[in-house]
Amino acid sequence: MRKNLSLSIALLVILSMLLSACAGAAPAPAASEAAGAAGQEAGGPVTIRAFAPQAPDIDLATNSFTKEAEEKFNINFVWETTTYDGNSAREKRQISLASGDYPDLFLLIPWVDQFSQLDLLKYGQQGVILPLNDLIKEHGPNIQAALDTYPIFKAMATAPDGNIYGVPQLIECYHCSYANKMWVNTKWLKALGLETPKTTEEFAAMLEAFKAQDPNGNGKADEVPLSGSIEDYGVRVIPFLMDGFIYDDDRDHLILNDGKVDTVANKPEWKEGLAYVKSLYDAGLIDPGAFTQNAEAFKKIGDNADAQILGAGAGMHPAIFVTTGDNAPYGADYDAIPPLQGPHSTYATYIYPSVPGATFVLTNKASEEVQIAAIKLLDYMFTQEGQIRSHFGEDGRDWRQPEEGDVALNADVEPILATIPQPQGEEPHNSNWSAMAQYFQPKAFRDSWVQGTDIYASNGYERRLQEATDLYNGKESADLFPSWTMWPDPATADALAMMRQNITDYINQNALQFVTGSKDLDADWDEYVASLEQLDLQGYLAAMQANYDQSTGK
Amino acid sequence: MAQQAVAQPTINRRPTRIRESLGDRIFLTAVYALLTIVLLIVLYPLIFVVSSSFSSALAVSSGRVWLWPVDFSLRGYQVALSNPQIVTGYANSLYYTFFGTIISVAMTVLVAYPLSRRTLYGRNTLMLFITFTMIFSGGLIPTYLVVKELGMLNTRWALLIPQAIAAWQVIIARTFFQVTIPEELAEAAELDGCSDLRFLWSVVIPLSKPIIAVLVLMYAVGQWNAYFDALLYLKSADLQPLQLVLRSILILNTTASGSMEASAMIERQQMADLLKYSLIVIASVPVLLIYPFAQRYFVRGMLIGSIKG
Amino acid sequence: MRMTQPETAPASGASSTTIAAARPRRPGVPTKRLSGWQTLRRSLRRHWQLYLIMLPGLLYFLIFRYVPMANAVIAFKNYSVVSGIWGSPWVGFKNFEMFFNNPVFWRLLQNTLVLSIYALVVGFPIPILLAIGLNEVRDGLFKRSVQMVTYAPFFISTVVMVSMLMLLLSPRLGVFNLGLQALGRDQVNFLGRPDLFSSIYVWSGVWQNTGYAAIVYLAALAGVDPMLYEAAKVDGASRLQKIINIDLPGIMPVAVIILILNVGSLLAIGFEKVYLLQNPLNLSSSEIIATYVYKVGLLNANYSFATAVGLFNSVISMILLIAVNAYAKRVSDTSLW
Repeated sequence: MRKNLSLSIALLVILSMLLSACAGAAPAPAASEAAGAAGQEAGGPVTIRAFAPQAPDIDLATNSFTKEAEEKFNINFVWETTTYDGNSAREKRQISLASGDYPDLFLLIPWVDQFSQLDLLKYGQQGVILPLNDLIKEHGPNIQAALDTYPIFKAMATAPDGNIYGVPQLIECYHCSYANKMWVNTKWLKALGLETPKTTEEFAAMLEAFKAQDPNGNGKADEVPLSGSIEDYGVRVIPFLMDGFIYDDDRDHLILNDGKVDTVANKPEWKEGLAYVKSLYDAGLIDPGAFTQNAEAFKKIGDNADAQILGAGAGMHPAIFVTTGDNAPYGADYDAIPPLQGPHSTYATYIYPSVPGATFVLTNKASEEVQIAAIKLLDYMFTQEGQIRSHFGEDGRDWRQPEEGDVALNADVEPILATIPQPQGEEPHNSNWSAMAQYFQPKAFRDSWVQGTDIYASNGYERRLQEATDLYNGKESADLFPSWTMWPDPATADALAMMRQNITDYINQNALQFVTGSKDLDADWDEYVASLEQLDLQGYLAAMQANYDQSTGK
Repeated sequence: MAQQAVAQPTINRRPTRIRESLGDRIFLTAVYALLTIVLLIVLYPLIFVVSSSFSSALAVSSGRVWLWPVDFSLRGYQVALSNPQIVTGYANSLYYTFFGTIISVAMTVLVAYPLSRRTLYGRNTLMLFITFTMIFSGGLIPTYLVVKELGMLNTRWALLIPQAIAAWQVIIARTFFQVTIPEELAEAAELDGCSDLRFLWSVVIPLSKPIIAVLVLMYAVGQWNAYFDALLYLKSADLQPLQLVLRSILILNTTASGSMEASAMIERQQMADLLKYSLIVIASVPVLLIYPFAQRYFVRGMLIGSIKG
Repeated sequence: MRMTQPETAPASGASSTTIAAARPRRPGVPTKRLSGWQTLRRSLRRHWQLYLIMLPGLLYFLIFRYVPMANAVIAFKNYSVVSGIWGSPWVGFKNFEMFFNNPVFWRLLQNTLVLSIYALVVGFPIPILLAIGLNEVRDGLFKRSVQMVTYAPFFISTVVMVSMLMLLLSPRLGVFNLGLQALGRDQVNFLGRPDLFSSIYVWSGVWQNTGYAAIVYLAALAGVDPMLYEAAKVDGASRLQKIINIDLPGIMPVAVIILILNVGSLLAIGFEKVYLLQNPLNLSSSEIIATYVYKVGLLNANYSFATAVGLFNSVISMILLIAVNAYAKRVSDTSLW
């Protein structure tokens, strides 16, 4: 029996090896065969196979902007769609690339899935994706202009070897760039006769008052002075508080000391900041759920029906934790407060609002005609007219020209357009590419969109965020680590990714352990610092330093 | 050893009523009590889901819904059912589930039954051959390449064939056959000149309704819940099954990292809040509906009727 | 063919096993040991129909399972699309080394094992208990309701499941903490306690999967010979005795097989639910191999690394499976092969 068994296994393995040898040889993509594949007759439209995420309310094939673009640039799109589920979309894109079965063009959405810088380098060096430098020079004057005008955009788009392997979206979303805002219940402030807190101490005193003085007036000590959650979008409570002590970027905890990359998480100020947060936590001023819950549970606290219980919430914008808009009971109660003056600093956490990587990528299957048509379409989306058409939709249906009395988001600027909200129950218009077309939105352009003047109404929400962000603008540390201008080195990227994961996890985990008391700041601090070193903190910093030096051209 | 093939006609009579002992009655009461507790514990979240699906989004997020619907609203259902992608997905899913289940059950029985025969030479090797695939897998790309080579990409076959047989199901089915079909019965039939195929068709299958019901249920559920293969192998939106559409609405975008701005985020969040529970209800109805059909075969002694020629 | 065959219908009252044993041995049974080839030829001649009907299924496994498997060589290569799987340069054990030398590796392995063993120890017997309990209940509305209701949670997607769990366990508004509050106890931040993470994971899984997993056992119980119950009744056996002496042996073969398979898939915990339940406070016990690979490996599209980890999982699983199977064969004479 045993002998037969091992014999048959051996046979099977050999058999499957043989079979797969044929299959395995297949994936090598033949770049040469691709060129003729488009197969257009002279003058006929250029067929472009495009990979794109498709929202439930958009049908790319029948979309009116698709039609317009096809006509304008003589294109015939063949769509390969994924959904807005980011993990799945990434998997599908990676497999299409890894199997050699990929299309001419990728049109992606950064917050669903896009090419990472490593993807661009890897596939660029393999020749799977095409450098766009010459195409842009010849056929993309507006893209070129954007590259020349916005140095960070150019740094993000240009790989260390000088090639542009893909184009990222340029979205200068003002309120996104200061995500870690603190929103305070100003109705309670008024009810208790309190001033807006300016220092870390005043903030603690305010939370104390929220907890002790029954601001919701129901006679129960059911108030949650401060809450947050564990996801992105500035909902973690520690960075806003830590910024009064040392700059917390809410990601890597890195900083530049005279051009040397360093971590903030082993500094005495960090320890002091943790002691401050711990004092709030120990006094019952921070919702323990802030360290464990998701945004939905956070919102449940903000929306609590029996009585309003939330005093202050961390977040990029208040709709994360409270229902806003015209019928919402508590939606208008939360206003941002400026960064707190702490013992050492008054920082605001900043991040560049566009994500490095690329959403527009051409592959080596694209024929020359396809390349030119695609880049011309992209160039159109880099014009103001094309950007409005592709992102917002049709004039008079999805947006309109400004009228008398309209005020732009930035009141000092001439308004350019006003969006028309879609009436409830109406069929989706299917007339734009929505987030997939968001290529050229510098701050000046975004400032010129019409917004309502009541910042608490639905149509004034962006203005509410704009005004809140003004309180934070410019207060980031001058020594912040500009990770968005850097490119990773593929040779060390894997090891670096693991080190980064291990170290940031360890820092975040210990920060909360110190705060919640499962570790003691006095007794365990030295051991914590030593363990960071054991996770090869120095190696990590050195690798980040190398990235930084390379990006600054040293 | 279960030997219902040799059951007596007398079995079908109502069992003789022997008074249950006190101990038995206490035992039975305890069983009922426990099951009632289980029922309530499991039921509550389900009721919450259904009630939430009939309530307004604000009522759900403000915690006012805890048992019955608040601010009764059908908007979730209206929006879901007026969405063409959801409707197409629904139809596709029904198609894949129906044909996929037929193919899967047939192929599984055809593999599992021979493996249950002790006289089949090489059955242990073949069992190993099958079990091995549960543990070692080639991974996504190599499987994708095979599907591509076979020309199944972007066809309905891609959802029916590459996952047609689950090793787990084969092994379970084979174990059932081993238990319920005594080898002696097959041998006797063979002596009678009954071929293996005929025996399978006229004896084994009628005797194996419970396991076939299990296979139908599990394959149908698996097919209905599957989305990953659809994601990989399908390119055109009109072939996509329901689960793929649902995931795009319900999934949390973990990669977002701040680049999604407030307007887009609120829009998506409202959509998710509105549709979350109604979509669960809509998507679960078909798989819940088939359960009672399978359930009929899970009753003690149900096989007796089927073998009485 | 009619089922009422004189040969197989035993005299009334007699146990069928004795009949089977008394039956003359069928012709063709080898009386002396034959060589493998001879046995195969005989078996082929005798069961050619069975071999034939297996063919589609076996081909299926060969094509869709074994052909891709050979490509697991990615683990040892620096995979590149252009050169394809077989053309990519070999990197030997570099990917494995990277994984094993990671300072967090042992914690990942430990967390993975704790979660999966806990899930197995709890998740294996409970569906059996449910099935046996249901089997005791008279067929009717109650029984059908319990069956249906316990089966339904299986269809709630992980994302929704986790968000409901977070609401239930919320330190402020969650049902559990409201209960503790009413009892005058301190609130517990369930999800922030590393020691509670595995229980949350496992018991929510029990809530979701028990009804579905019980189906197989319900089917097995449906196949138990009713005569055995009649006989036991006549003997005056109590319900508990009937369960122990009839029901349990009736489902034992299926249960043993499922147990073996579960042990074999011990390391294959999906990442999604764990990932969604993770937070920095419970990370020390909630980071498992799958979530770590997801965060580090797949996010960077590092196929070689991801495949190396997968292969590591598989080898461990195979060893476990073979060991358990051998053990089961010794003690219960039910086994996979």
